[in-house]
Amino acid sequence: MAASGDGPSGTQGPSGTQGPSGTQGESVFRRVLVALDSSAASDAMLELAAALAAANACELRGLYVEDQDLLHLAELPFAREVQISQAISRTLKREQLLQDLRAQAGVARAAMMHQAARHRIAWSFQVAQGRTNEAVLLAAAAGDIIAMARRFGPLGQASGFGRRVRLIAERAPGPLLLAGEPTAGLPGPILLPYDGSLPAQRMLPIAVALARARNAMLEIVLLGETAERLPETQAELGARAGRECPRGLRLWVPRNRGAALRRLTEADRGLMVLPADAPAWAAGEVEVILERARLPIVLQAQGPGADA
Amino acid sequence: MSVTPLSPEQLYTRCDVTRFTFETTEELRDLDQVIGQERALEAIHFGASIGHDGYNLFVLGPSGTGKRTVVKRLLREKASGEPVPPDWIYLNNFETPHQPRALPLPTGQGRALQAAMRHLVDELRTAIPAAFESEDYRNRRQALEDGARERQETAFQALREKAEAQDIALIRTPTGFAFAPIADGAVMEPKAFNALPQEERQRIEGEIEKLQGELQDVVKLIPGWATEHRDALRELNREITAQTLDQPIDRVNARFGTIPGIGSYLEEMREDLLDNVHALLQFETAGNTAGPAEPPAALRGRVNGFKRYEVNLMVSGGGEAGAPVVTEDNPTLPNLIGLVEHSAEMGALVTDFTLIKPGALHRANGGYLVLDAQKVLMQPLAWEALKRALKTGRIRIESAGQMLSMISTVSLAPADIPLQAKVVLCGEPMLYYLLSTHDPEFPTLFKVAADFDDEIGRGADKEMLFARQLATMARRTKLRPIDRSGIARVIEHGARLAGDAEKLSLHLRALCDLLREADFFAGQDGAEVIAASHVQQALDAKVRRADRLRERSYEAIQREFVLVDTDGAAVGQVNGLSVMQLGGFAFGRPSRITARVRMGAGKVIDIEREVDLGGPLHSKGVLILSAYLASNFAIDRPLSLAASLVFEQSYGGVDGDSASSAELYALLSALAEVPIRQDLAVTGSVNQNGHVQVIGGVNEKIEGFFDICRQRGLTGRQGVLIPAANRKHLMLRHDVVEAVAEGRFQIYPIETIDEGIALLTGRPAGTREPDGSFPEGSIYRLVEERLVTFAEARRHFGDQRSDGGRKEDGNGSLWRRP
Repeated sequence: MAASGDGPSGTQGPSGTQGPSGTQGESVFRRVLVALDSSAASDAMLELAAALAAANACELRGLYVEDQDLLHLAELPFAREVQISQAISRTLKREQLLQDLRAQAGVARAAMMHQAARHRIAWSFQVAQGRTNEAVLLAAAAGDIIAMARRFGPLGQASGFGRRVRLIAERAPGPLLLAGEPTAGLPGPILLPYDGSLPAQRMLPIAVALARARNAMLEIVLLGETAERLPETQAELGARAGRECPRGLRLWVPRNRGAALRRLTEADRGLMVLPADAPAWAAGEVEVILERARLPIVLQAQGPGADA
Repeated sequence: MSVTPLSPEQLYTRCDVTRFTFETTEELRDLDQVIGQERALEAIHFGASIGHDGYNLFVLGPSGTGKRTVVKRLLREKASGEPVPPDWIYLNNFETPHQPRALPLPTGQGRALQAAMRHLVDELRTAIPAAFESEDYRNRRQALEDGARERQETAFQALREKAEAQDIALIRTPTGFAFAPIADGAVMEPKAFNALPQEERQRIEGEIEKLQGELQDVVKLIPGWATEHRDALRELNREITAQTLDQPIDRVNARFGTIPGIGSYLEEMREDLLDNVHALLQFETAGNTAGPAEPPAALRGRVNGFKRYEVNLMVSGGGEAGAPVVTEDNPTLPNLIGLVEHSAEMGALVTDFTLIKPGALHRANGGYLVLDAQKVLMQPLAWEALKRALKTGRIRIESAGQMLSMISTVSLAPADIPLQAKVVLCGEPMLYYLLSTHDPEFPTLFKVAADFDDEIGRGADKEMLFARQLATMARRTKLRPIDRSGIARVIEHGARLAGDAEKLSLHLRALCDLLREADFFAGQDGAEVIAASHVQQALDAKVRRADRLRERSYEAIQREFVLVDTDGAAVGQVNGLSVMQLGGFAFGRPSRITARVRMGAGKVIDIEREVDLGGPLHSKGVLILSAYLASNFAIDRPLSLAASLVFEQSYGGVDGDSASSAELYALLSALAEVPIRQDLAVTGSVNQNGHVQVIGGVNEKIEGFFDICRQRGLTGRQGVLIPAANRKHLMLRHDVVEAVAEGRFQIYPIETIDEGIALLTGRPAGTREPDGSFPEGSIYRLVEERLVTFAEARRHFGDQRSDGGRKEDGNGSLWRRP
């Protein structure tokens, strides 16, 4: 079944219960490690992470970081902050900051408890000190998926977000789930850009597991050669993933590169699984997707030197 | 002067079955009306028809006369030709939710409107979320949110970039933003900062100060941006909501908008939806996913969710024919005027207009309400609420707590509903008289009294009518037909119930019960009709079920624990008769009455009264017989008698004057020192002239003495003295009648004390001769002589007193002057 231009090249619904690797029912994650503060983005992130943990029947672990950069700031002689609620400037003191951070940790813990009770999952909560990114990576172990809000941490708003996230992903022992503003966790398909490379193939089971857990369709955006040899790709993906997805599998053949990027950055429902090391990406394209995408993203990157 | 005992025919007035032209009641037509209640029926028709205020009815009559049944039937007949009243609904008041509004609707439209509004809300529940899920809405909302975010982001981004150009970072703190110098992508450590040259540190501090000023300016703008964003979003929501709801609301308006009040209500509902639809949906979603939810701020203090658009149908006449006739058997305050219920939500009691429940007055509005007066009066505040509703012509729903101002919880004050109902109270006559006397509002609110009689005369035509009444009752209660012997026996029992051989009781409930029980025995016999034998069996069984205490009482007499002689004679001692009423069963019981006399100051002591065991009527009887003595004997001398009278072995109260003749006989016997026959028992009251007067319970009294005598063996001399006027009341048991017929027992009708004392003593009473004295050997001669002796003796003692300083007190006892 060939197709030209944008549009689905064909769909295949679930026809059996046995997955390609016979792993149906097995969790692809051992634990969901969610990094928290008390922001709205963190709340949205926590909700998504809890749902993911429930769907995978795994533990939810919360991590609150008393960020070192903030403490350093409070020790500077001129340190002041502008409070959003009152638009006034006040001196920032270490003791006051620590008090605020602990209060924030308490709020985060309560939110965590609420979500865990709602989803009936095992949970734990930890407070760490250090630089946010380092503390998160330190707390993560093999089999974990790290969940964090976009622009998480005191310096999360700084420029170079995409690059920073990629660096974290490269150092993380497992995939990274990014969510929160401006994305929303609305139900929708699992979107997977796929070029047939090893990194893309590694992400396929994760995408299938998420589609199953979220009872969603798996939509694969074909990149590179996969689009050119559509019948083979279709057969291969159908065999590997089609029967596993409860709402079926859809292959998307973009007209061109720009169309593929638009599809990935403009979709506003569902969840994207992004193999950052796939060779099909041009330089900087992954960072653009990370910056602009409106969906939660499951990102995996192994960085230079990893097997390709 | 001899008294002729009554013949057996005078003791029981049979119902002549030969007068009946039917064999069984199957041949008789039903009666449309109850018999003997013409006066009451006329009053009911009048009261139900007159249209002015205050013409409510009080139906009074003894219990069991069929008042309620008759009233309900008459009212139903009348109501069936009257128009069905309008429906009444309660709607949410969007302005003041604690004051729900009441609206009348054309008959049957209430349910239709309720269904239409439910359908409308269901439609909106799905259509509005669908509209908000639409691509168009999402795009427009996204654009608004993107715009708002971008505006904020742009402002911060500009600031951030300006700062980053100078190696300064904008940092998010737990409560706001701050600036800090950056080194290697991290906040510069204080040590490193302090190690910077002085000028560099000053430069950084200066830059940061400037940036903070700018940041403050940006942050000050945020609330305004947020307000603008909210307004834009609200406007968008209103626009989308309006597109969705206009059409469904217009449909309802087209159908019901001509009804006064509905058009304006729908307009208010539209406005409310436009303002609150988001909060409503949010509330519903939260409630569906996580149980009862805390309402959003916009809805606090208001009716939650889409429930606020429901229609609370209080009364609907749809499907009814005619005006309502409502009976409320449990007329509590809420059952009468309605109530506002509460439900528990998150530990608090809450309410809204959908929890307003109608009372009997709502259901009867436009028709008739039948209530039991006693029950209304016994329920706290119900009587007051009923009177207020009738007086004001409005139904106001208030709880007992509110009426007494005891509870001040948040509740509702539903709008009053105009009341146009005729209230019919049924009750005992005593209640009517008490209310008329003690409640000044009662006569103005219940101006029509329908007085039910409890008996009718017993002629041939009445017996035939009575037979038809029994036939009707038997058919309505699905009993076997009654043959004419059965009817005759029931009629005879009706006379016994009335306590009058010339009357029939209209205590229909008791008669109906008798028919049911007779039908049971007929069924046991395998009979197809109820015959006299079955009626008798039912009567006997009923007595048997109830007469344990009678048996014990008679046993005590037979075993001589209670002393009653039925043979021989004794001075100052007579057998009196009383009636014991225990539940629905009455029986007669003989009691020994004794009198003792001695010289005194003319006082007859009623021992029962002295110890508070005698009632006022009994005392009155004793005083009358004292007066009889004083006025008939030794009238030219002071009555120098001290006498005491007592009901021997009576440990309960005694009331009534039916034993006064017996007491007088005992007193005369004691004075004359002539013995009284103990094989006779006496009943009857006496007046000052010595006439024996009618008493109640004559049948039971005769049967009581008869039973005792029969158990001991009838001698042929035994009998009962009854007032002659009581002859017409005699409906005695068959065994008594048979004993009389066989000459083994007698009933003597007594006109005067003279007749009675002669019969009891076997001596003439005596009539004053021209010289003013009684004949030698007469009872009265002996009595007078004794009284003269007492008077003389008293005079003698009076002389002694003047000599010896002694004085006699009123009771004849002596005391020494100090």
